[in-house]
Amino acid sequence: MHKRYDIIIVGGGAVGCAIAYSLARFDISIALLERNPDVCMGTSGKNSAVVHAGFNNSPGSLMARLCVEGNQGFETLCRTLNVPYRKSGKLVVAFDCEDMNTLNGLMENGRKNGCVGLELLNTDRMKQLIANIGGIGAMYSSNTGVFNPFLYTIHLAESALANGVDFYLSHEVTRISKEDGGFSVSSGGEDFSCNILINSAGLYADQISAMAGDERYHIYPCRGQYFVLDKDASQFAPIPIYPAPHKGVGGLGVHLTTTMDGNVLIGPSAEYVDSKEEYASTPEVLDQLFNEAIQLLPSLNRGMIIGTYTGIRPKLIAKGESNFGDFIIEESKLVPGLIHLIGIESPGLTASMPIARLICKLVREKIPLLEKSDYEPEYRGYPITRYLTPEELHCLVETNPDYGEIVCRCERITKAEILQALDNPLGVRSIIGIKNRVRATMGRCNGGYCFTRIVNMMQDDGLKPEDIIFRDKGDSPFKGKVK
Amino acid sequence: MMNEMICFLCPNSCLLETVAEGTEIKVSGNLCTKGQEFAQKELTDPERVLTTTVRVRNRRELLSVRSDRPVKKAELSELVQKLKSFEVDLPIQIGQVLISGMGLNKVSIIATSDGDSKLNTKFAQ
Amino acid sequence: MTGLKKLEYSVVIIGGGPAGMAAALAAGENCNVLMIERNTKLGGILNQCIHDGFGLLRFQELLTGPEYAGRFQDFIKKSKVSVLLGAMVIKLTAKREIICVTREGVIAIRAGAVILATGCRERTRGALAIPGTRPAGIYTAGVAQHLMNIQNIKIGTTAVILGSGDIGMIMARRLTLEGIKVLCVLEKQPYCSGLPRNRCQCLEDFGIPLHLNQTLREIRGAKHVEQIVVATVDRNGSFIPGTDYTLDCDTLVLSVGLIPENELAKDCGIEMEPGTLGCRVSSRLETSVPGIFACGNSLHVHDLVDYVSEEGALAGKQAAAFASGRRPLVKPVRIQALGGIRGITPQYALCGEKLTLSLRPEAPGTNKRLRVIAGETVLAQKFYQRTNPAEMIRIDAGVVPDGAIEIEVELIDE
Repeated sequence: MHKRYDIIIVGGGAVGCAIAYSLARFDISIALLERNPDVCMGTSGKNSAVVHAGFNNSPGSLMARLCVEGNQGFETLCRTLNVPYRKSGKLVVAFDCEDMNTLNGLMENGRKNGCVGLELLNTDRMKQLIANIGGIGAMYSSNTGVFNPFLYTIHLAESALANGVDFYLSHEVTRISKEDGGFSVSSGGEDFSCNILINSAGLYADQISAMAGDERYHIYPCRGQYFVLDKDASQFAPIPIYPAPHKGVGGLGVHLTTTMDGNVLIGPSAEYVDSKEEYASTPEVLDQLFNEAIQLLPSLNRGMIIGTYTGIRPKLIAKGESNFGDFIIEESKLVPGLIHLIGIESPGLTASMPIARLICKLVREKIPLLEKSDYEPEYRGYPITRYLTPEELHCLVETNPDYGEIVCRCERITKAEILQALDNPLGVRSIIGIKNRVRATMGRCNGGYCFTRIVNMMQDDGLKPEDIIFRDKGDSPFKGKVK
Repeated sequence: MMNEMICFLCPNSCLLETVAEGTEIKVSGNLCTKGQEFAQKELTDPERVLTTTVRVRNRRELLSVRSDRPVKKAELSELVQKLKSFEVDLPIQIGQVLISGMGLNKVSIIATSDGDSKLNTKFAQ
Repeated sequence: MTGLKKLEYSVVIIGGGPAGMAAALAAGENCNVLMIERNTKLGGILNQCIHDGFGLLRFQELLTGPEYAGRFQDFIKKSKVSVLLGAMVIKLTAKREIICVTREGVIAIRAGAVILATGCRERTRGALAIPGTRPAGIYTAGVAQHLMNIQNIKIGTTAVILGSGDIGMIMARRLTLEGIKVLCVLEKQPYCSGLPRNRCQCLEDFGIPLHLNQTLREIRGAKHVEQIVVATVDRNGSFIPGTDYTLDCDTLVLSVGLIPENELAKDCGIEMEPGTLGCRVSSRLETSVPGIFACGNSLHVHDLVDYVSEEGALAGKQAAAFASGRRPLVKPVRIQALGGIRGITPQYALCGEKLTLSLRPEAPGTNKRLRVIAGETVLAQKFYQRTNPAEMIRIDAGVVPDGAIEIEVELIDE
């Protein structure tokens, strides 16, 4: 059976899902193909989760324009999608005179890019903001924010789904062929066809492009390792702290990010790796990360560590090259109907919605886009009880007693929320699926309390122990019953 | 032959030195007389209390059980295997005998939990 | 919308494990007491500790965890103590106001005195920041224990245990008995971190090797644990080059230490003690916030549950005295741990009151003398043929003399 769509989006990261969400407004048929068993499993979920202000990017670049635009609309967007967001502000710290010059340069960059809320702070004012900080001065950016990238991507996807987009998870694209006026795509053992193919495959965008006949791109995977610190640490780092950027470092430098839920992240490293699957963390880099973090904030100690994770940036620039790699967002010059999104690394999350709008514009040039009458842009999702007052929580418990049963102590997650995450609209039924939706097992005990309870709930839901999957089919940690 | 072992009858954990003299075993380092008995037993006929679980009919959770007296150390694995096919019905009291005559020592298997996990909040009058 | 249910009690105990139950019983003799437990059953972690070795001091019997808990559950049933099960405390203030969440609604409770008996949690892979991939098949020993002993779920086929803590060794035996091959137990220290009796009964009985001075270097496997890399460490805990070897396994069980659970205490501003990771307390087990007491594994990690119960009872008695206003003001005397000691409880003594100290030695040793000194006076001393960090040392230092300024505790070579 051939599944026919007007548009196929390849890739269920934040950008792919933002495109699905935006295109769902129109009266066209859309499918999204994702190789992983859930959305937000790649770069979108493994980063610092910062809404950037836009002062880091080269003036005149697509990155700069879309980042600033994304920043301006992010708070409203998060409200529309019921995604936790906080306008945290951030500090970029200088350690010497050269760094101070860099900060001046960033101020100038920011001015050119049209970002507001930037201010230089002297040592005293910097220390007023964060007592125990290293460095001699800083730039403060009031418009920088933090948010929950998992819920952002998931809610974009769930909203798109509700508005008629078909999601195909665990569907890796294995073949693309050009046919008259469109494409034929093999994915996950099924055949699809479409008029327009949107390549939002992140790390794999070069391969998708090549499959479709445009072999001009190469993505260089660049690994970033992180530590996660316990919430105690946010008393020392109440807002994100970055070092002044240094040239030749494939990123913004090791920084401290106070997350939406009060943890502090240390990272990322920037290491070019050979494979797009090299997610393993390495002791040398982790040690170096911690040492750099202590330079920024001497109050940190290793007792605060509760976890590590690793993300991989899809870079267009190879190791050692110093030129600037802007986002490539355009229709392929070689393959008409193939729309590229290549090299979407930081600030891709911030820019995701402006990117999606740009894609809508490109699509409109190819096919007519008529608005649907029943499109619903707002997405409510479910209540997140840890943000509620006791009185608000009490009201919820009166409607559903499962809100009165706290299953995860560290992150304060109720049974109701776990059950909602288990019964999600995309049909993802895995431990990681629950984790990414409600944060269970992300806290300081790494699931010591909630894991066994979640397993119980999955069994209540009809799964045998050996069918309970961690991330993907066939990876069940369990080997059936003891007796 | 001289041997060292730790007596685990009580938290004192005495480090015992044993010397075999024919069939006699001489023990030193013990703070109490039980050390002598312990070493003798451990060297000639070691025994352990068996603790394991059994299935409960129509319930997912297991019930914890133990032997009422020690079993031969060498029998531990075999007895756990034997109990794997065993299933009990609730209600059960702690200490209730579930099976008798197990192993060489003819021990009984007793429940160590009542299997009760119902919510049972109580307020004093 | 109805408002929060409001309750008021003389003494509220947070946690219904062995410490909480003993505290409730001791406090409940002459005042109204509420015990709050998050689980649907009292007993805490004891309910999953199906092995024996509990209660030799308290009941002069060798009991399993559920049996020890069962004895206390019976005492509680017969007592006047009120019990709230399936209830999680989400907030405690320094004014002793408690917010607690239950399936029946959110409850606000005012307490004359509060006892923290929240137990401890396990140190995790995340906290150790073990390099490598993040696959399925990694468990802390307590989680493995719950899955295997209660939930009837087999966690793998071939396992390695990291850390020779007691629960790790006990799980090595359990896994072996239930048909999971345990390749070895790895211990970074040059000595076993659990009790000798567990090393003997859990490892030696089953021929499970304990590799000292060895630890995990890397976890491998994309979806599931497939292999681990092990290396030998030197005296400073650094890997010795060239000692790496690999082990193929699908399960990794961590038994690498326990951390007192104290988030409620920290949130209400109670001073913490870095050596024990518990609250700083006086010999009355009262924290830096008046009327809030701490006991059990949330105060400091114990070796035997019998001592947890004993400490809980003291906290209960003291909290009841505070709630009823019978509490003379006494000058606190700082207790300093000198050489050879890793964490000591309490941190303050009170002049004219009894003092019992609990501490752990820094490293295994032989022929040691423990001395408790106030100025020129030796309050107590005791000789130990052997000391072991796995075994807590408790010493009764008698009544602290009036006029004591500082108390020093040292563990020295005889």
